[in-house]
Amino acid sequence: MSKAKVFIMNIPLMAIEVTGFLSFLYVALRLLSTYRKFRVQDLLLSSTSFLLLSVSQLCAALSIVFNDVRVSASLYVATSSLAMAAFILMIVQRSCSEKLYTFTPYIVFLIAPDVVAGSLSIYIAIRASGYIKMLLIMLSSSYYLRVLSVIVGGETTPIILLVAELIRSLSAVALAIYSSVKVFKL
Amino acid sequence: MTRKRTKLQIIYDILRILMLGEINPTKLATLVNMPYDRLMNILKEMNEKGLVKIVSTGKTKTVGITHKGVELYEELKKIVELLNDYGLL
Repeated sequence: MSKAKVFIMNIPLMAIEVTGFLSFLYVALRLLSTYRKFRVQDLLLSSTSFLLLSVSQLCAALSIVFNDVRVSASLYVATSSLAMAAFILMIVQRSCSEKLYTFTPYIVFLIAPDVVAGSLSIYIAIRASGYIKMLLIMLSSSYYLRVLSVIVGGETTPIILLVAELIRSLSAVALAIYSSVKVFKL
Repeated sequence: MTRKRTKLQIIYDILRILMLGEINPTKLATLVNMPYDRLMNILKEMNEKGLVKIVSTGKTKTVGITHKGVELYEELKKIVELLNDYGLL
């Protein structure tokens, strides 16, 4: 298959990833703008979480653009790393009144396994509600599918990865759009 | 275990009650369920940021919301709802 044909086939997926990136970025910026008006730390933490989720989406989009396998693979792995960092920050915000430990995600996301991202998003989903809960569970399942693709190996790996990426991108973009619509301001 | 309210939730609760009209700080402290002294510190901070106005008439004090406060309330309403959906508050 020619490179041009592959690129064209990837356009819908890229459009989804970019939409997710912009929507999460919009939420992060809205929270940051409110934080600047009334220096409440929770808003800054939430803004950082959404910013990390948006960068995760950006990495997913860029992993499609780059032809170099190493760069593309690194960006692909970074998607779950950054999502993991975002979820750790959310957990810290939710359960820890001492904000001293908020630096933890930035250290932990460097080691980045999909299974951790999956577990953390499930943990976030437990106390979430409505559509957010459902979408977080979908997102989490995509990380587990990535793990499964590695375990299974062989010819089924690309198919599982494709399904995982489809679930991940769709749930992430739905989560991003739902979140940005909630805080949308004309 | 019930989690301690965050400052964001406290500010939102104060603004939500003030949206109903001007109120005496003592009554406001009861409605937002917090000690009077702590409430006054937060109100002072909010007053400095132009979100509320504290009017003293003789011995009585009343607290009201400003236009800027109404704007922040509208913004916080959406944000608090979103953060609640994520279970972050």
